Amino acid sequence: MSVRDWISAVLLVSGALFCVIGAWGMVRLPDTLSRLQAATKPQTLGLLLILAGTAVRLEPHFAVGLVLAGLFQVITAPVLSQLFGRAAYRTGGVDRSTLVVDELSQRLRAGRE
Amino acid sequence: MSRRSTHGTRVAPSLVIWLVVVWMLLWGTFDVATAVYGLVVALLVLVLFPLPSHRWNIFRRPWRLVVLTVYVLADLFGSALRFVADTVRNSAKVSAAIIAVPVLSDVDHIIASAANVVSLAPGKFVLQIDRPGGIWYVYASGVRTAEDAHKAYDDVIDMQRVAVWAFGDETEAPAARSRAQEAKRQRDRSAVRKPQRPSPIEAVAASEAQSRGAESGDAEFHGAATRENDHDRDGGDDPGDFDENRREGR
Repeated sequence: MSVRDWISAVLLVSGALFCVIGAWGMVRLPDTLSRLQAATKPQTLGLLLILAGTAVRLEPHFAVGLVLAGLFQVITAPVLSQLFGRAAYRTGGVDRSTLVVDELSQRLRAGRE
Repeated sequence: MSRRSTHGTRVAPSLVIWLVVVWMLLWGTFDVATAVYGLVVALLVLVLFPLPSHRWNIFRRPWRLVVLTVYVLADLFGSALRFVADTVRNSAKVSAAIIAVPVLSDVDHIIASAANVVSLAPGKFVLQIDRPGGIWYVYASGVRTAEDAHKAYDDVIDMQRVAVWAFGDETEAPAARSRAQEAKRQRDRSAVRKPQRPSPIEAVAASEAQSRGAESGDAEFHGAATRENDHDRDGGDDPGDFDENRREGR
């Protein structure tokens, strides 16, 4: 195996590992907010690693398409997690026993008076 | 300011160039014909779906953007590993916090972009943006103690400072730095007073006690402050303190 193969293999396997952990977190974690974390974050890193691993093996000419995929993932994932998180918080998708501190609920209560 | 000079023009050149680049990347071919079609499509898109006239050239300072990218990637790896380790070890008893963090900028698109940058790293995301109050409510996982919460707070402030430095203009970066220092100072001062670690149940009870206290008047609320209550009250005070400072700063 050449150096390039090794780099690609390491990136692909570690990327896949992060995706698996994200999926496992989805199953194991208790509430929407923590599941959202598992679904969006390790998976973003996993996808970036897999794209990088693939790009190493490809002609530069084809690899630019992968750069675009990574870029859009990085732009869209945080927006999605914010919108879903906000909706989940407001509709009771939060297991409050997991929260050590919740400064938002304090503020919301104060605002309601 | 240079970026406000494009007010009112519907088809900004930088946007056209960006769309043409995306188009060419999508096709994967870099020749004149693709560029021409890309230009047609870009113009069509911009005319049919006009964006707000306030535009902003993100590539004005590419070097800072590179620094931000490196910072974000390093944070992405570090916090992904931490998140994974924490989740694997403690998936049965997840512990998290929603903390109020002051916003370091006054410009909408910079706040939004910085929020995106912060939300990208595993373990944290911006749950709610209180635009008039200038506060982000950040959900941070893996927070078990008050120290963890302070660390998450500092991390968000640091990340935000780098983001504002990269996206903002010349006046915003120093302002953000001084605001960051001020915000950290405010937070650290309260950290001396609250080293306790409330268990989740206690925290809920304390926040409920606090809201009752707030309803029945400020004096009584302060008088009723218990140990747990103290913790939450301090957390609630922080943004307010910061707001006052900001008003003075203007």
